[in-house]
Amino acid sequence: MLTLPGEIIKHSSETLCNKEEGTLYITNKRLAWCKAGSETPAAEVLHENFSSQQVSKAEAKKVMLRISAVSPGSAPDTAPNVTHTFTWKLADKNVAIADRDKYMAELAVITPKKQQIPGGGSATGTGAGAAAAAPGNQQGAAGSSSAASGAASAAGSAAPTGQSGSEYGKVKIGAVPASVEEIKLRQEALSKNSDLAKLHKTLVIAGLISEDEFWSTRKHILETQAIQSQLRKGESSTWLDLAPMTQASGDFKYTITPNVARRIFKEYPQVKRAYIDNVPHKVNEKLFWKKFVASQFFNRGRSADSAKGNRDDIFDKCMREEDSVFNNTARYDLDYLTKLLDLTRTEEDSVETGNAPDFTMRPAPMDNKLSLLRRFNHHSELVLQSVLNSKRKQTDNDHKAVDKTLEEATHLEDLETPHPEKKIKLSIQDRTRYFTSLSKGASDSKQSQGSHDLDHTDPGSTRAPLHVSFNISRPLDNCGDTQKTMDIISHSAHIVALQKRPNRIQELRIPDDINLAVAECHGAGTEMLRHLWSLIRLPPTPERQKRAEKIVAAFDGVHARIRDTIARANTADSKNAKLGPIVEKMLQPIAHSLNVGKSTFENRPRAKAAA
Amino acid sequence: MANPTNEAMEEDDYIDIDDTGPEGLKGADGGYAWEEEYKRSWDVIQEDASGSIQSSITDLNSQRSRKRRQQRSTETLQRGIIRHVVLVIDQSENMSTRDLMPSRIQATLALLEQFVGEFFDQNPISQLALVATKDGLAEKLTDLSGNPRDHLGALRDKASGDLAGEPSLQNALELGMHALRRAPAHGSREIVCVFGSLTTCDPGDIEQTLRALQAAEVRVSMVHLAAEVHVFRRICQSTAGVFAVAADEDHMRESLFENIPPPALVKERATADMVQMGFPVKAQMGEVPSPCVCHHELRFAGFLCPRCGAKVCGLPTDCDVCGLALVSAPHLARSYRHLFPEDNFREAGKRTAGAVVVCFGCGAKDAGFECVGCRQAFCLECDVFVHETLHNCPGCV
Repeated sequence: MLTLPGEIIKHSSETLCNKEEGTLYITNKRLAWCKAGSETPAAEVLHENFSSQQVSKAEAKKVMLRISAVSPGSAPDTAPNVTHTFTWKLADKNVAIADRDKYMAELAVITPKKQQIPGGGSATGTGAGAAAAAPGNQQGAAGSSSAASGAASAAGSAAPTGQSGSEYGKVKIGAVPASVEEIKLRQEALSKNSDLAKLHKTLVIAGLISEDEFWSTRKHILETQAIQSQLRKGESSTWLDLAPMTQASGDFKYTITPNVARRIFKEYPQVKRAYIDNVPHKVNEKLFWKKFVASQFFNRGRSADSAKGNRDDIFDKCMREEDSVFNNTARYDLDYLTKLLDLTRTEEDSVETGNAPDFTMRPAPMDNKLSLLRRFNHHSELVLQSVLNSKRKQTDNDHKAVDKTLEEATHLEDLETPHPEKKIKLSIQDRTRYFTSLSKGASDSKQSQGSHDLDHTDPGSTRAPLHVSFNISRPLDNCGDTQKTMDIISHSAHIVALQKRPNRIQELRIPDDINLAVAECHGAGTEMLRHLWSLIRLPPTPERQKRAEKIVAAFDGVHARIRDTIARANTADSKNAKLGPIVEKMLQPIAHSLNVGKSTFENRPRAKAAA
Repeated sequence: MANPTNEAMEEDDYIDIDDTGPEGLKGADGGYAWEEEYKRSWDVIQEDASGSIQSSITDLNSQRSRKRRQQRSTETLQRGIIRHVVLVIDQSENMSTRDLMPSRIQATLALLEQFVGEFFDQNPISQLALVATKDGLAEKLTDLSGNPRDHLGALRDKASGDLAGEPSLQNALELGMHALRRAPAHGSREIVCVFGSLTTCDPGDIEQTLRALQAAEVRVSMVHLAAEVHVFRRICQSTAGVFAVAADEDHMRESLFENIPPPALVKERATADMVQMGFPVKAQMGEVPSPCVCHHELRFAGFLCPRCGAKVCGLPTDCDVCGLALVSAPHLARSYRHLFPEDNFREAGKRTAGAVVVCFGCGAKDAGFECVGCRQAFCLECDVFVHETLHNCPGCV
């Protein structure tokens, strides 16, 4: 059978499927059956589509295995709708049963991952059935419980998929083997980050490091991805303004999405009641919304004259309900109202005096705007109610409490003098220590080194012989020997420009395959060192010790590869004669790091044993 | 008016007609402002020969900034030098308003680019992360890192995307807190937000997020471009941060840059932790390049980590292999500077008439300030330069 890249065939057997002869294969990616003589599978079930398995009873005449799966590409919690049945043809039934059990064991490993939400028990049922009699009973149990769990998981999964993206909430990153969600997270992280994808390609796809190891030191990236996808969007509390779009023909078009419909129902519970009562048996949905948009209820307050809009039986009822609610002034129970907000308290200040009529404290006579005002206020009320979940508490009528609340209300924070926060003073024992250099000896030695290497390519060291022979505190015209200084400066600038010339790496003319080999050595070595150092930094446990030793042992493999690359470079047919030494120098830092890591690790446990 | 509850009339209920009121209302001579001589405030602006008032404006501005600087405290306080800051950018529809030219979002991004540069200049061993919020969700643009190039790149490419919907402060703060979880305990954790929207569309109770922020000791500061919103201000104040509303572009820049110097600690740390840092040596620049561990590319120059020997391209950074914080001595020196701020110069005392005082810094003739330590005279420009850029008095050094 033609295998996919990275696929390893675990078992294969001669079986019949649909009365045709062929070979059944189980690999690390899928279960496939090829007709005799054919290379491509006639039936295949990928591991992620696999749903459940059933085996025939031990005393049955034929030895059979039935696989049920969902069709490829469907959502994870649809009911399985594809089944395949495979029959073993061997003469000796026990051999056939043993063979079939191998497949059962493999498939049982995959099944637990599928049914994580209730119904995990069924998987153990199919897996544990090693005894001949047991599969008969258990497959019945497995069959029924898998059906039950299928239903349960379909119901259970309705909850998680309702909140989109929270499937990652339960994922435990770092579990081995990686769960389906973690694989999805990994793919997302790779698609978003091109550097990481490049690294992944060079390390994992090339086969140097396993996928799990690669991600074990990069858990934080996956965690961030999981958290980000878990963020939910809140409900918008803005005033819903359903504005029409004018089309070319002059018609108005209103777009009502389910989101918009939900907001309308929240704002106007009467419309929700009307919807529940009428749709779909009396009026169909489209007609309902059409009538809504055309009704007076909707258009009240939207335009200057309130007469626009048709009268409609459903929405007139809504209008009447709305009016009755708003006109009910007993809605607000005065006992629960703070005295400051109660306008009736100042009625006695508004007694009619003088000659002019008193126009204060009277509601505006604009009837057509009244409903809009009331709707705005009602909307604000809804928003605040959803935010502040506090219960209404009865206001204290005791005069001391009233005085206290009034006093607090007059206290404006902005008008107070700001008192500074208490700050902690910095107390340093010996301040001068920070300003003196601890490495007096080192700087002297550097100075002497600088004067030797006048021709060295490092521009830093050319500064040492630059005797600055002018006094900057004097005016610039009697400064000293500027010509000599200019010569030295331009010389070092020339050197720096030579070093920074573009394509310097290409000039070395290293062949591509050598380059690739160098990159691979470097990548493998670096990854291993990362793992080793992360283990060294943690307190030692026997498990970590073992893992670290394994990694150190693997270093030898990397060293061998390095030597191999250098040998290849030496024997390579290239114009560059010095290719071998060049590649050796290129790989020298990584070899050195590996040695440093190894010696650090070896010195450490010895220190612990000595301690 | 009935006043049944107060039987005894207390003295406070009567206002004494000769009462002079609280002390703050008094003018310089002890009288009220309206009792003083009539001031013509428009005479302060003088036109020069060509009719432009530019010089008066600059004078006024410099006077204002000088006064503000005089009020700056220079006591030595405990500050968090190793900072981990998350920048939250609002990408909602509100940011396309054109009250800041050319539009709020573009002005903000330009300012944030300067902020990032200045931040790493003054806090080289700190780390920054970027989070953007729009359409009710939040997205992380860059991870916590000490390399300004990543952040500048993200600001230029990803942050100038489409604006949509409403921002979500809760989601942004949650994401920011999660990013800061990786920060070690010895560093200070901060979130700095630039918001333009007056609303926030949150999925849950923001009080919960506030409590979580206080528990995690994260300091939230905000610069708002429109108006003060109670919830935002409360979050900033409860977490010991600073809330500012930008009056114009200059003020926005000033308020945002207030977050650059490290903040003073409010709660005393129980112990002073020891932090392990590495001082890498420069790799010998031979004729042959070798690969670096941060980009896996061939480079000629680099720095070698003292612990594991890996080659990194630039400092300051964390070694990719062993995780050691790699810094160089000038970086630490620049960070320390905040702990020992330079004292403010004071106005020079009266000099004898006719004596021309030359500024010690630049040689200009008009030097009006003197340093408290070395008693040298400096002019206004040198004063500004010494305090904002140089941070050392040339006379004292």
